[in-house]
Amino acid sequence: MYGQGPANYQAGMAQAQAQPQYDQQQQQMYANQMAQQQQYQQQAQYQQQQDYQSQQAQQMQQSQVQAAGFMESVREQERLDGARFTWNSWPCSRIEATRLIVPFGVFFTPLKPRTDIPPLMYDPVYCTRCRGVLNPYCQVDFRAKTWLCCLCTQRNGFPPQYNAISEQQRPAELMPTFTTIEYILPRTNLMAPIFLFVVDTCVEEDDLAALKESLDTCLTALPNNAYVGLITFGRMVHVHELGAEFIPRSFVFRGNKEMTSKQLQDSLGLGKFAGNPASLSQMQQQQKPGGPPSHGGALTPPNRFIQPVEKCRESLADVIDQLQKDPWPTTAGKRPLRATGAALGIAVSLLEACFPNTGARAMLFIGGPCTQGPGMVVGEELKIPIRSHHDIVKENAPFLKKATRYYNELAARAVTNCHCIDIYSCALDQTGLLEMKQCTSATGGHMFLGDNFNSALFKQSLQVAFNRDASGSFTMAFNANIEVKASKEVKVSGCVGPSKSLKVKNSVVSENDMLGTGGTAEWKCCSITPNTTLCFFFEVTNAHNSPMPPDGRFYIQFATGYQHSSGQRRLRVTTLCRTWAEPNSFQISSGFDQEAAAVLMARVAVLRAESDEGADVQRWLDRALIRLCNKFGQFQKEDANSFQLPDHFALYPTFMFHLRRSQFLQTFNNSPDETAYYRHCLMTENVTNSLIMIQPVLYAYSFSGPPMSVSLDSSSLQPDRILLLDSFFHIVIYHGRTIDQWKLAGYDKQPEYASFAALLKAPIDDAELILSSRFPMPRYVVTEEGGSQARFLVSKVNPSQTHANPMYAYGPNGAEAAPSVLTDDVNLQIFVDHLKKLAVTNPA
Amino acid sequence: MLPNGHQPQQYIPAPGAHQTNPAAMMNGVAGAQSGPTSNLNNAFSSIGLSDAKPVVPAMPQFRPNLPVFRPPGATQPNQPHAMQNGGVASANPNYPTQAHQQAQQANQQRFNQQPQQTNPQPFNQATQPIHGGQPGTLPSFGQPGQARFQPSPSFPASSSTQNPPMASSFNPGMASSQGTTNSTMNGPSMPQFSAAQPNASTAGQGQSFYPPNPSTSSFQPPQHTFQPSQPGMPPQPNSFAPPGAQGFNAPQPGSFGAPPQMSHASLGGQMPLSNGSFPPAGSSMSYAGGQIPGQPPSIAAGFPTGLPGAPAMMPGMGMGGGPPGPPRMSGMPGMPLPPNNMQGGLPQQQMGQPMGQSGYTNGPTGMNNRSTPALSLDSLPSVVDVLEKDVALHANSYYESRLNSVLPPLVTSKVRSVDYGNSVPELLRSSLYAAPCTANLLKESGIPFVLHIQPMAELAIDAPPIHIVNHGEKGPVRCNRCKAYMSPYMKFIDGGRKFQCPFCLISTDVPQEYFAYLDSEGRRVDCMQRPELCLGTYEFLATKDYCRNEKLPEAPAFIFMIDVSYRAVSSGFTALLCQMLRNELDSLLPVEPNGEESKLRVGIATFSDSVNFFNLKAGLKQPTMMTVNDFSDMFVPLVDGFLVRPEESPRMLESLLDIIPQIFAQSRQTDTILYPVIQAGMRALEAAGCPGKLFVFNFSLPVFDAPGKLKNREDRQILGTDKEKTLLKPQIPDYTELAKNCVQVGCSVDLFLFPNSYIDVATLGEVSKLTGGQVYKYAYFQADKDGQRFLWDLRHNLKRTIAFDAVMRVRTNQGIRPTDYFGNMLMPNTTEVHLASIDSEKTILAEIKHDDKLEDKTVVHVQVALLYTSLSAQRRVRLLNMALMSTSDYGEIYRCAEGDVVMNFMLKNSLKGLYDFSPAQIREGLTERSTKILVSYRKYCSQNTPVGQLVLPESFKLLPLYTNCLVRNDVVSGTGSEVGADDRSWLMYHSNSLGVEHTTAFIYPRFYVLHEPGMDSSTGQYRQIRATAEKMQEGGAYLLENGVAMFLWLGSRVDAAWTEAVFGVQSPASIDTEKGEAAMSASNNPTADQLSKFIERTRNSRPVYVRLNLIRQRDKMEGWFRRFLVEDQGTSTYQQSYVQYIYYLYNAIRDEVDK
Repeated sequence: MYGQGPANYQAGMAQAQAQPQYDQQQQQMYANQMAQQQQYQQQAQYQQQQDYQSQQAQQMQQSQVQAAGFMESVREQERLDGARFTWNSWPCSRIEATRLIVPFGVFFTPLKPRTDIPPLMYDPVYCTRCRGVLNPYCQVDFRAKTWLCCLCTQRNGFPPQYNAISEQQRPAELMPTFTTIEYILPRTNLMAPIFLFVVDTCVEEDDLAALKESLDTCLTALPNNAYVGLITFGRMVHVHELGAEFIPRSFVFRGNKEMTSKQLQDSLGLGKFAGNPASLSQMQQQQKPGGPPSHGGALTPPNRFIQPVEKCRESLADVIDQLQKDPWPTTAGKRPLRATGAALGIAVSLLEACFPNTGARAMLFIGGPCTQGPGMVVGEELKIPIRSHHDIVKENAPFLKKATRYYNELAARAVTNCHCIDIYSCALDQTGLLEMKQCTSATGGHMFLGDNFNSALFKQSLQVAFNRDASGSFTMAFNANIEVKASKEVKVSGCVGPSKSLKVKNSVVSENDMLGTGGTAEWKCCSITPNTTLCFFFEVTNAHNSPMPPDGRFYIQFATGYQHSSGQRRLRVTTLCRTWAEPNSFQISSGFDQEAAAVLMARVAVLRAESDEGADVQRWLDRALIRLCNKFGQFQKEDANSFQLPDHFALYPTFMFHLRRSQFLQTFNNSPDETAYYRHCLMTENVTNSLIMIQPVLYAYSFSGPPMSVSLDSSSLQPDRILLLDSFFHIVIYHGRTIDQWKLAGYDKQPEYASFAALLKAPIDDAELILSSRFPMPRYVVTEEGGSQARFLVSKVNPSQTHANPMYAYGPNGAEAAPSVLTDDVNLQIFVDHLKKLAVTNPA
Repeated sequence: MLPNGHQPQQYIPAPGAHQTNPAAMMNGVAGAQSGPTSNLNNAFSSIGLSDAKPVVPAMPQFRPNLPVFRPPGATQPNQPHAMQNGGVASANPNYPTQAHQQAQQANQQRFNQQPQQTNPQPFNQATQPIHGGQPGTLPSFGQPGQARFQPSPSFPASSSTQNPPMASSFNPGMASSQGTTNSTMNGPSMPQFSAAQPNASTAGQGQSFYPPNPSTSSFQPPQHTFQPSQPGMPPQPNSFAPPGAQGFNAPQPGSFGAPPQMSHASLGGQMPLSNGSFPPAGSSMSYAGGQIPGQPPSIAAGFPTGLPGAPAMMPGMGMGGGPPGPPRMSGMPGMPLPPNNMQGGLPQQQMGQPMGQSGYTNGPTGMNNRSTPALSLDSLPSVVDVLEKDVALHANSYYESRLNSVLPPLVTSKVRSVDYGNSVPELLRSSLYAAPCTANLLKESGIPFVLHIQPMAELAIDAPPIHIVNHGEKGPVRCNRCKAYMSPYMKFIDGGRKFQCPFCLISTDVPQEYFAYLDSEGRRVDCMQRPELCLGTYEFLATKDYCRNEKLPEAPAFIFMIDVSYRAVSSGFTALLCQMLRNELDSLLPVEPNGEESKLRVGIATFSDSVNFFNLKAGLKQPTMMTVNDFSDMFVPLVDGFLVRPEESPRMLESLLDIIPQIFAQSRQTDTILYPVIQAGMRALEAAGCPGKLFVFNFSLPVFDAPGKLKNREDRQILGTDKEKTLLKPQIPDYTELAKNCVQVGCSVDLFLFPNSYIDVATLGEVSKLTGGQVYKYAYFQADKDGQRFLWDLRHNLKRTIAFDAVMRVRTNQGIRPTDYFGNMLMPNTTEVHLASIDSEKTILAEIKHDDKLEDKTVVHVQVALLYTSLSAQRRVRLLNMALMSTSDYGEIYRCAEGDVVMNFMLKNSLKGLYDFSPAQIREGLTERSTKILVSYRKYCSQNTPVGQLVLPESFKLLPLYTNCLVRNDVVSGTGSEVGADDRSWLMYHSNSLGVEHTTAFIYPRFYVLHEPGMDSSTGQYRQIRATAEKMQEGGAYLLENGVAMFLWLGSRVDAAWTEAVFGVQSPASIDTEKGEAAMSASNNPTADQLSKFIERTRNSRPVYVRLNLIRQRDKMEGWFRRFLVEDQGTSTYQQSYVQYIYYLYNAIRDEVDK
């Protein structure tokens, strides 16, 4: 399949060359692409390896899953199109659809790395009716040079340059394999990405030093044409002028005051041409109507605060080097005054003024909570602690609402201007991520939570954020618009993920039942990464009395326009096709993707948890689970023992069990910030990673066999094992008691026990593999049985052995019993037992 | 003299020096001088005597000194005194005993190194006799002190008898009478007169002109002519014909105001002087005066030159031709300046003459109505004389500051003062050295009771430092009830266990650690060891309780706010300032007198349409700049690196000052801000938790759209009219409010303004005024031309001793209390004076009023407490104590009045009034007040004086002159044609904080003759003359200086050798006057040297750089210069000549008395 792609593509190209109009351009393209061919192939291999590795774990975990074939095809689909359906076959009527309990959702990863698709350097062909993009599913009449839109069945003519197409000479977008294809839109301005560092200086000296170092690293990572700016803040907010003559200069703003964008522009002299205020208003007029992403950058006036890296690299490095801890003294018993809110507001305003509608990142580094001005999350008095979950429930968080509103507004403004906000929070206490979460979740920015800037955790995460792909471009992309089109029986009812509605209402939009952000057919993500995954919800609108023909197909098309980090404007079109199925048919249940469903339910639950009380959410989850089991389980009424689930559903209750215990729904022992952070990640990551978050993966390394995946159960904690837990946020290496004793005895240093050393090293290598590619970087913990850090592992496992059921207290070897988990939580067994009981009694 | 014995160690002033003629002086009445007999007769004198006693009380031993009133003239004591003194001495039982005094002396010795004291022998009895002779002769102008002038010996007898009472009186007319004798005299030129016929001169002139009159004036002219018998005494210009004889005549009064009719006619005809008569270039006349013997000085005042066209006004009475209301009229009540009415040559002539005569005419003949007295300028009291006499009086002497009634020497006399329990006059002066017992007494006298407080004044180099007393952790010992601080006047009782506060009379337990036994006389045994028990001035170390927020203050800071707008940069200012700060800042920062290291911090910021702060933190690679342009609520971006001690990061500071001019070299910003700049500085200090001062250098009206934005509202036309106050008041309240906030945090603001056009000093100046700062103004600043001046000011400003974040409180006995304060300060409530800073040159006036009555002849205490933060960041309280005797006697009050302080008060009171009243009302008020003072004196102290005589108490000898000068001073009366609104406001702000030393010169300029060879070359001094064109010669060169401007006037025929020496050119014509001082060649010759040193010395004595302007005779600029010749008539109706004003006042008084 791979091999063919490029070949066909070449054919298409050759044909296109016939078009005189494109001669010039395409010849060059051709040359380029020939050169790229090889790269693609290499990359493909590389990617395969990568995929292989990341899937390995998955596969091990799935070893018990029967329908390996089904899952493989699902994964393949995901690899090709970056999409996963909760149901791969949909019932063909509305009423049936609503009975499936788990909503119809599609996890879509717009930037799914695809090295094998060549970018097309021309405009896509649109359907004249629904603006759907020509795709392989369209029927093409090569003779008449027309095509039938698969979404709306409109017949369209090809533009003149397609005159030469034929069955043999298809343009790439018609290749069956290219259900996902990417266009590089010509005739748009190149706009290099923009990075605005917003740096907290109210941090300890060594932290600041580390932060400065990291900033320096970032700076070096930036390409020369990228734009960069620096804002620092403490009690005040400093906007640094770059490349100032004679003396480094910064403009300073109050930390306790909210500035409007206009005020900021006046203050900084932005948009003034040669001091002529008249031209300023002109400028603004020009820019506003010209809103759409098109030419944003070109018209912006030159300014001294955000400049191309090549022009200011040294001076900026100097400024960063000279950054001092906020000079304002902090009196004992008080928090330092920190104007995070004002600084972020200024950052947003600055970008808004300088680069509206252009992809940009404001990277906020904070070392503590905002204690003054807009967005303040806690008072100055140290004796009054920052809000906890308990306070929030009791409505004892005086700043929460106001701050949240403030940050939400900022987020909305940033989104309007296509700017994303990253938050890197490094503090031992909370910093207000809860209030600020919209800034990242609405804009698609990163959220990072760490202890201090001087940690590998932070440093490496930051590096990962600046990852580059094989072609040397950043993997991040900016300013994405995702447009959803679908067959007419299918309506989109919402989206859950790091995006904001663009409020485009059209026939694709469902009229009722919104989930997440709905009421629109277009969403905006100010920043997307290869992992960014949105969950779209759909609805079947077909009336019951006029069912679709079973085995008929429906189509969903995602058109993602985005700004590539090289500055190109690109459009990625993914067209998905699934089939209709008879209600209650095996087809439907066998098309169930329990992983996607679990993640989807998790996202919905989290969404609900934002507004509802935890217990309600849990009840809702339970009910959904019971109903699902009731609908798809096989059992004899009232006989719990007879209960059985089909293979495709077998793991789903387990996922739900862990989800119920997870930090996403349980706030106990987590601060509101942590909760916000975890939830943010869950809402952003792809299905695989999300699943890891819900149910961590546990590997065991021992002399008794090759590394293997073991169940996430306390019974897996054996003395002679090394365990590697990947919960996405944490990587825990856990040495069983015996292993630990051996290690203490220093056997690993003795040559004759090299195998032991190898055993010790194996999980570390695996951990590093995970660490190297994940963002945010997981917290890496090495611990041993009884160690204080072992809690990271212990709290995750299914408490099959606790102090309450001592019968498990003795392992096979008696003395070497695994430690019991001290908890009152029910274990999986009990959970499932209850579930069965309810499923068989509950009348759906 | 009394048993002087006791004055053991007193320093003996030169014998001549003390003229103590107590009697004489007390009376303040000329009469005093007259022989003993006269004294007896003289009510005043008697009063004086009586008064004297109470006063003296202080210490008998010292007594001898006591009597020394600051007699202006040096010499003669009157006979009587001796006696009186004696009497006095004996009096006062209440007062400290000898022992006490000795104790004090001991103290003094301890604290002041005192020269050996000897008994200053007050008067030479020998001399006295002389006087006796001429009581009448005394220049009426009353110097009671007249003693000093001795009346000419020649006429002893006659006059004496006759005029006793009036001696003091001033009889304008008189002068002329004597003329006869003097006729010989010519030359107005002073010198000549000197020896021979002092008075004569005046008289002489009169005469010469009006020969006829003299004769008419039959009355005993002679007296006046006292010759200064005293060797060394300058002639008494003042001398007037003692009205003596006439005095008796009813008409006397007329003598002054209302000359006899005759005068008119006759004079009229003769008077050549009418203006008309002056050659067009009037100047020649006046200068040439000397040559024209007969010139009537008085008239000359008209000063034709200045205004050729203008009709000269006749001095005296406004009355036009004879008929109408001659003298009187002038007096028309209500009419401020009738005299001037007259215009046109003729009438004037008539007038003029009459005046001349009037004096002479005897009452008898004359209807007062008709005639106008002719007055010679020289016959009027002269500032120059007064100053000189005071100097002579105190030569080789020192002033003991203690509880007594001795007036302190004039400020100009530079007499060393020694603290004997009262603060020295440099720090604390009073307008009255005897406290009136009742409100009525005070009100009737018209004399304001004012304390002139200059708490941080620079003391003489050799003066002992002010002692700092530390009472430990509990802070200074204070009265429990009124919180008065421990002072020498606290009375210890109950064996030393308690002390009674003299202010509230409540007794307080003595803290244990402060206890000391009392000796047999009831004094603490340690009172000599403790400054606070024997000195008037000392300081306490304050504790936390005395600090803001109960936190000891951080070291104060100076913040320089530098304008970097287009104009500032292009004028060269920015570079100039930066260079200066770079090179000199270190050495300029003030240090504590006790030499402690200065911990001052410094911050630098620049501004135009934004404010740039600089981070100078040591350890940075280079300074960094932080710009703030959010002005809605100004703030400072940093404090830590902003305020630095220069020695801590010298390199940073230097490199910053090096690059500032470069950074802003391209500045094109013309619209600037100011309010936020000051606010920023204030916030910086607030944030740093320290007091300090902002130096704000601003070039233009803040029109940038920001808080404190101002409009150009200049309208010169309305200056001088009723509406002017709208222009003199701030246009928006913001700056005033800002100033109040500044005071809250101890932030003082000095404004250096460099306007090219209207900059609204009235509004901006409020900030400095309320925060104890100062406003400087340099119009059309160009670094090359004005740089020196600015730098001088800045250096001077920086070096001054300064106290920060001060609160001053004045405590007095029950019965009186300070009600009003004047000066650069803020009064958040009625009792506390808040001073964000106060430097050595700032003065606060406190006006005291009664709220009850005082017991007669008791001691009245005043305690001024100034709580402040020192340069070394110590919190201290400086205490100034003063004790005065109360009195219920008018004579005593007048005798103990300090005229200069009164004038200082009148000036400042007028300034305050200008915001509410029209200048005309203010002028009227000033005249009314003067009138009131003189009338009351007349009523209560010299009832017996003939109505026609103008009687001037010694203390207020110069009152008419000063009042007139003040009335015509630009600060009160400046109109749009003379000064701009900014100049006017600046003058107002500038003079608002001046002490007497500077206000006297400001009111009456110092005028020096430069061209006379060998003048006092030993001291480098030049001879001072009266500020009138009459005393000028075409062949002369003069220097005039009033603390604000300095003029070097070059006559058209000035000696070529002199110009050669000074300017390096032969003729004044070839001097480039534009260049000002720079035109003076640096040639190394004694003449030039002396001049430049003199100029420099003069300059150094002033709070601001006094720029020298070169004026050539008949230059365009001469008119400007002329306005400072304050004894001459000016161009406006209110600019009366001295003589005119005297007449006017005379009439006013008479009207009052007649009522």
